[in-house]
Amino acid sequence: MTMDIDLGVLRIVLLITLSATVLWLLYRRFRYNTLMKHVPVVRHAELTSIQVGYHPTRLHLSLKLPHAQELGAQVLNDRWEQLHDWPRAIHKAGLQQWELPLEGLHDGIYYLRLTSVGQSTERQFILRSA
Amino acid sequence: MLNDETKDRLRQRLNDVHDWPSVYMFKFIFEPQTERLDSVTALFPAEVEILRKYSAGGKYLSLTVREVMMSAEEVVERYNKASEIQGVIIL
Repeated sequence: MTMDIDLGVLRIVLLITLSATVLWLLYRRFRYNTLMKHVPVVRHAELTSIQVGYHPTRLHLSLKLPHAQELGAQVLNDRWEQLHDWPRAIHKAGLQQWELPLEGLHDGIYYLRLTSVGQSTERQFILRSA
Repeated sequence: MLNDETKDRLRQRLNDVHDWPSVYMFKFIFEPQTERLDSVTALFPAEVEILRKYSAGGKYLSLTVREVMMSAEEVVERYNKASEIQGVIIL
């Protein structure tokens, strides 16, 4: 008798658990598909122009920010080693002009890397002071 | 839009190389116009990692997107949507 009751209870518990698991899996799938369709990538800063200035050596950047966001910038050499790193900071939306000092770099090919959350932009520039 | 033969071939190759789910790397090349860039990034969910790389003269932009894909079918579908965007080269 006790065994019968235990098995009956166990069967009900298993049925409930199975149903809950199926519902949870369906919800996860639904959530994933909804996110895929309705939450696209957050727009990243557009690097609209990059120009090198000399005496002193510096980079002039024009940026278009679709919304306020945290951005960081690094300069890398052609072996992909980081030479300069400017601290990340939150910048306002809109058009912006940045001037980044590049003292101590010799002539050559370098890369500017602009990073936000989950996205980065790399752009080559050449220093040619002579 | 990809035709059925191309989709089948792509699906077959993906299944040969990957065990799903797997981190898949999408690559696109196009002239950097905002509308085009928005159309490509809109194909992907918010949590993906995107690297943009400009050509030396800044005339072309390559976009590398890394995303966890659940099956070859999902990858094929993503490529199919990307192929509808004008002026985008899919690698």
